[in-house]
Amino acid sequence: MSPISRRTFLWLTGGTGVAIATAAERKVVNRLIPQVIPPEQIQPGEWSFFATTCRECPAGCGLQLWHRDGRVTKAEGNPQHPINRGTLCPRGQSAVQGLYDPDRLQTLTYRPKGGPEQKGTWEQALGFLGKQLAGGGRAAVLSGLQTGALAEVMRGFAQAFGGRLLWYERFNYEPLKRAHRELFGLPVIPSYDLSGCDFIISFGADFLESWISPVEYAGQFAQMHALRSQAPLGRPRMGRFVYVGPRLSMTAANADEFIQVPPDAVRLVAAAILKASIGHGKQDLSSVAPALNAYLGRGAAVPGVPPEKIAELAQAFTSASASVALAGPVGSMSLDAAEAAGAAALLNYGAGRIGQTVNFARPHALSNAATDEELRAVLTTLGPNDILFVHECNPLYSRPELAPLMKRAGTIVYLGTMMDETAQAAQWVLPTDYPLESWGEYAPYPGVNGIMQPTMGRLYDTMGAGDLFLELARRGGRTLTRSGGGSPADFQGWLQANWQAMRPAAAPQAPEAFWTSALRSGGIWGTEGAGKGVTLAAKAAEIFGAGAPPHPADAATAQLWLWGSVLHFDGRLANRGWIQEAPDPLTSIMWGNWVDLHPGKAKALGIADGDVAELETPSGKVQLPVRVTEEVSEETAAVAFGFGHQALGRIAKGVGASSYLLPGAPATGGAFGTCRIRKAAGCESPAYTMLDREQHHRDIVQWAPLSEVSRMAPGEGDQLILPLPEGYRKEKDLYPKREYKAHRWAMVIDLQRCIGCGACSVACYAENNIAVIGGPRISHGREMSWIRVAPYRKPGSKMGYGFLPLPCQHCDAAPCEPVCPVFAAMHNEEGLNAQIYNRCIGTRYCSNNCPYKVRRFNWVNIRWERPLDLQLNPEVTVRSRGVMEKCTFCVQRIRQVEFQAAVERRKIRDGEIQPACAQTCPTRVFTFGDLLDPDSQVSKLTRTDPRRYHVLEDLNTKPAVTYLRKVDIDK
Amino acid sequence: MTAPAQKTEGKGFVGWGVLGSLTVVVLLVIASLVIFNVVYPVDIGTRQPIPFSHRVHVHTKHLSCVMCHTGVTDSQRAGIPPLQTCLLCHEHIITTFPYIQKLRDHFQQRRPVVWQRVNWLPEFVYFYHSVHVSRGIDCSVCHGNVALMDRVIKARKFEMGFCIQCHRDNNATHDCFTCHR
Repeated sequence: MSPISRRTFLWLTGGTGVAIATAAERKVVNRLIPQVIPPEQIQPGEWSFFATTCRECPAGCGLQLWHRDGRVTKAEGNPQHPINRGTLCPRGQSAVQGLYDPDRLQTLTYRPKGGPEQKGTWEQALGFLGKQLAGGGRAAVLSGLQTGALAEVMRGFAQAFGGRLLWYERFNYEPLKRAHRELFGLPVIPSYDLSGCDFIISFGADFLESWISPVEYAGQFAQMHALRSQAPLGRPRMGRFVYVGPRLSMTAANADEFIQVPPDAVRLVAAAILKASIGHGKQDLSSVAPALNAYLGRGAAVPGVPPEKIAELAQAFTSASASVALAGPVGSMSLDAAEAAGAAALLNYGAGRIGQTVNFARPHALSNAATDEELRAVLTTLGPNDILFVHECNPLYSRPELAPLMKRAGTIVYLGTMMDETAQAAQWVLPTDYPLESWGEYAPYPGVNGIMQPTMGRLYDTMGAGDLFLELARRGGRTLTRSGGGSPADFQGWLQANWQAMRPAAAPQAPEAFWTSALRSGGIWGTEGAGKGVTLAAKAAEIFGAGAPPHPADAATAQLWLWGSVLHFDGRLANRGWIQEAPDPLTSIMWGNWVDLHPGKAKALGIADGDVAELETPSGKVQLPVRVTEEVSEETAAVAFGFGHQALGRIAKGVGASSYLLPGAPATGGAFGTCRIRKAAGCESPAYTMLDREQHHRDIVQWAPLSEVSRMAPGEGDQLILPLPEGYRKEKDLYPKREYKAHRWAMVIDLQRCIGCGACSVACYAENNIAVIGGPRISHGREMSWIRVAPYRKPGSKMGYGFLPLPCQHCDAAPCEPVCPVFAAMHNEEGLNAQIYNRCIGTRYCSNNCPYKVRRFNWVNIRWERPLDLQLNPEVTVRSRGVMEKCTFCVQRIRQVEFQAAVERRKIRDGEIQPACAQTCPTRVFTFGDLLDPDSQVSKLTRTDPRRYHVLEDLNTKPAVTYLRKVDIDK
Repeated sequence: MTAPAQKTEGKGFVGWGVLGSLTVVVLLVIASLVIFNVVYPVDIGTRQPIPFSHRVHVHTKHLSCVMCHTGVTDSQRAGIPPLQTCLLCHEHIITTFPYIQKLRDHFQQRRPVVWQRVNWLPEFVYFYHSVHVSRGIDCSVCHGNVALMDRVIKARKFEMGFCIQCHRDNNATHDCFTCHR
């Protein structure tokens, strides 16, 4: 029996009808709010662009922000910036999600010792801290890496109040700096130039993911490793890259050769190659030979690497016209890693690469990051009267073992944007501006000065860190003065004064014009520092032998190998949906981390794939799901950094387990020490977006040998069925031929360039308002990403993988179109395969019929939690539940250019339209353009590149996306 | 004894039922008339916070549309003029009229005037003013004879049929992706 009577039912329906009829136009805000005095150059409803500098990691790429009606909607690379040249990594793309993070700090928090937590005001906080400083309290400052004006203010502040300033970066490259100090007396991280190299060898350095400056290196690597068909010598050529390490990382997967060795053997391989190279290089290294002999003699033979291989690599390294050796891994502070770094540095030195591909005259700003020793030295001096200022870094998460030392300080003041682990332990939590809201600067290398400007108004009652320190110093009774003289009232004045001091050298302009042009171009960059030589220290050989001997094997023990992924880096971005939802490049795992164990090890421990394992070291233990794979060496247990937050925000909290609990103090026996493994209760499979990386004879990713490709003339190779009228075959085609009047948009994807980082996918989320739906839903196959970068294993190879960026193929004979009962899947006049959301009724026939599986269905209505909705692109419809969606080739960008060209009465220039994926790609994988224009780059590549092929060509879908095969270096 | 009582109850029920359903039907009819704009085909225009008259400015004073709606030739939106634009003239003329005084107060306090929106498109439709204007489509094609309106009214219902008809007449694109994306 229904509880609702017929009468009530009629009454309700009648009432609803009237309500609907009278409350018209409910879905829009029916107000028009004009500006009073319009800001210059900002037109309502039009894009404006602001240049600034990315502060999501210490690489310091230039940003160009899309700004619309007072809010920033998208972060892109600044084309003028010398580090990233217009491209951006997934982390940089997610900067806007950091700005609009619903969990951002909005108010001040005060936790008096012994009292309850309370909300504070700025006046209270400044008064309290000012009084304590005026009363003789010392101030130590621990901050994420800064340079320029903010660094100067912080240093001045710390000095004025008798304390020290330290740059806290969890990835501080201590082994690299240690090696360079002991070998050359230069404790710095030099700049590396990979672009011209013929040969790169990496000893565990994941330089395409998280090592020092990944976007810069990815760009250089693409230049070095792409097939250069216009080489001066006529024949196409490409550089060779060898990776030595225990785990097939994304960087390793891009290597032409992956040499798998246990973590503690990385240094031995480096040393063995060094030994084999002595006498062949430009510099005499005989002085280190005896120590090296002793060192290698003490350790067993390099496991798993035959001597011929070592000799071949040494020969290739020294005989190349340019080569470089890089040493990692990130986050290690061990002496083992320093030995590997030392061997790599000596390799570079011996082959005469210092000054050529390794430039010590251009040290990276990361050279200033505090070492473990410096940190401990400062923290142990703290006392109950002292104030420890922690700014934009999270040591209690990434160095939990430092907690007792930090808590010696009487007051911990946290300055930042998120309530992270460190903020939770602080007495005062002061919300600061997000980098996109504040003035500042960052110079990753000397002479590369990136400027930061507020790109929108403040979202909350926050304060810039620079202004905060200036004000505190004033209240503490010691007004800070610039080194160049004067004490500007606010931080902006300070910054501007510093930049004006740079003016005469950089540009002979008027002060105002100079400042404006710096803001417009995103900074100033001088000529790069010329390479300079180094002198080998007399005691150079002592670098070898400090590390521990190889660890004895034991079934329950494994060597830890911790890695920073291209998405998660050191864990600071864990509260961003895009970052969590983007799959790990090689494993396709998202929303969580896992431990990689070799099948042999897993069998010995009785652990199966999907079980939970407990890793334990003297410092701590974590439980993680196990992925059993041969991608790690038998002695290795590999875990990613950046998960297992106890705080930070609702997204980050509780996702995965924190590997920072494991390494503890600087370790020996591998880069991160060893751990004991045992099977724990339960089973928990990581969430995969892609369950199978096999190709099953479908030749989805194809390879071509270099010898073959270099013989072929333009135009040779596969004859493709083009997505044009000429591709019509009467006997093969069911549907009539399609004619195009103005344009036929198409794309070319060079697989040899793709490194798999997934920046395109995150850029697509940002551009196209794609919803973040969470791990469990994705495990049910409800992934929303419009472009996926799928790793496919190379047939016949154990560890060879190719990455396939797969957007909608915009087929000419698209299987999705004829099956739509309501014509929501339409072929448009310019060849795009359009999905018209307002027509779609959600039958999902199109997705069933799509052989590429690139269509995505909205199973739920997604609520964009405030203020994340401010990030939404106003040019793209926000889809609701029950609607199919897919890649549009960024039709909104195509239209913008087309309309602009129409208004200006001109033709569209080739390359003028860039979809979001193509725009951000650090390695320039994508080429987009018009197939009807015979001179366009995309036409030339589609018609003549010898490596061209279509994915699933035999289905006769005539895709508009043409792939260029990966290239194999012949053995 | 029991039967008449039942009958009375039944009668009462039928009477109420008829009345109730009649009311519902009448309300539904009224509702549908309102929905389909039969009752009020074109209203007299929304009351605005300041009774700005397009007739006075365009018809009497011969101001051009683009003088205030500056975005129309080069951007997606025509744009609602900032108060600064009004003050270009009203700094000097008719300064004491009460509504212009109100406008000047708004300007002095840097407080925008919140207008009632008259014309709007659903959020899944993207329309570019500049492209249409540059092709010589007059404002009045869509907005009616604004020059003779005191309060602006919605002259056309912006439904897809209206757009398509014009595109058809002018041999313009019929691509769905032009307006929907």
